[in-house]
Amino acid sequence: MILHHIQSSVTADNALSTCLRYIDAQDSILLADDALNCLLNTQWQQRLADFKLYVLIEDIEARGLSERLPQSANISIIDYDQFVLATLQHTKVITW
Amino acid sequence: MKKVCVIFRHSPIGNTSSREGLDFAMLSASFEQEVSVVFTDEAVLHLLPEQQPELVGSKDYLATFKALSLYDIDTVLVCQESAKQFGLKESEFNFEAEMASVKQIQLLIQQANEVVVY
Amino acid sequence: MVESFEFNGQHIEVDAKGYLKNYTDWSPEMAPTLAATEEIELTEQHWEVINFVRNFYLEFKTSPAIRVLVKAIGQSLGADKGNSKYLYTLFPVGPAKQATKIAGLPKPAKCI
Repeated sequence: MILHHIQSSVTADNALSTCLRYIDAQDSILLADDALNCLLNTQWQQRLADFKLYVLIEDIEARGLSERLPQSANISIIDYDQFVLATLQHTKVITW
Repeated sequence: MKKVCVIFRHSPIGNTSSREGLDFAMLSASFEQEVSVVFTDEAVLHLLPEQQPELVGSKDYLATFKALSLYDIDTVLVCQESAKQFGLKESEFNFEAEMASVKQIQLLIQQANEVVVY
Repeated sequence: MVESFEFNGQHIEVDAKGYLKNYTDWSPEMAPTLAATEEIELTEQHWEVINFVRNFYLEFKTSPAIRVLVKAIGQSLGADKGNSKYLYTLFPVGPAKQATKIAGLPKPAKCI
């Protein structure tokens, strides 16, 4: 079980697409920094629908996205301590 | 001995991330880690022959990839899907590497202790 | 700070540890001068290794780390030379470090 860490916007970098090519169904994805903006886009919501996703509360509030992110069961909003916990709960972290 | 998988996903020449990845791979191998290497996305262009990075002021680090086998880095995989996108065939590879399916690369990533992406 | 020395009327730049800044400045005639800074007197056996690392660099554009040097020399010059004991007899402080310096190459990364 791998935690995939994405930290760049999908419009600037292929990181998320490459990650999705090699990801396993059990793995999770942390959408950090500008990577989280893709959740506003319905096409990306669909591509990511089958994976457990984490987003950091600071990243959301900093970008004024609290009311705009989709309410979806596969998205967990976490703080920094929970992020550290999540990294420990996975066998490894890959930063793309 | 740890299994370290180094993934290259950026183009050669225009940025320095692949040079860093290459240094990291060779250093890890020097410290007797079991290193494997994967080229995916635009990084498959590293395999193209007849590149002359010096013409645009870049160090010729591409020649160094030929030394990977001397560093006991024997697993060098190239994403078949990406190679196809860029019109690259296995017969023209500039150093020893093997075309691999997404499944093969997934397996390598899962079995590694550490995966580092450049 | 850039260090340098004079050789045959030419200004040769080296780094703080005495490695040539530009490997194309090197010529075989310069090797004894560089060897003297390491207190090594060159013999035919030394030359065999120096030529080897020089060719290794020209082919792969990198200075070989010690483990790779041992392996590659074993493959091309035979097992009696491809072992660290033999190489340390020739280059007591560190074969990769000293042979690359005398061959006019950059210091291998993180080598011993």
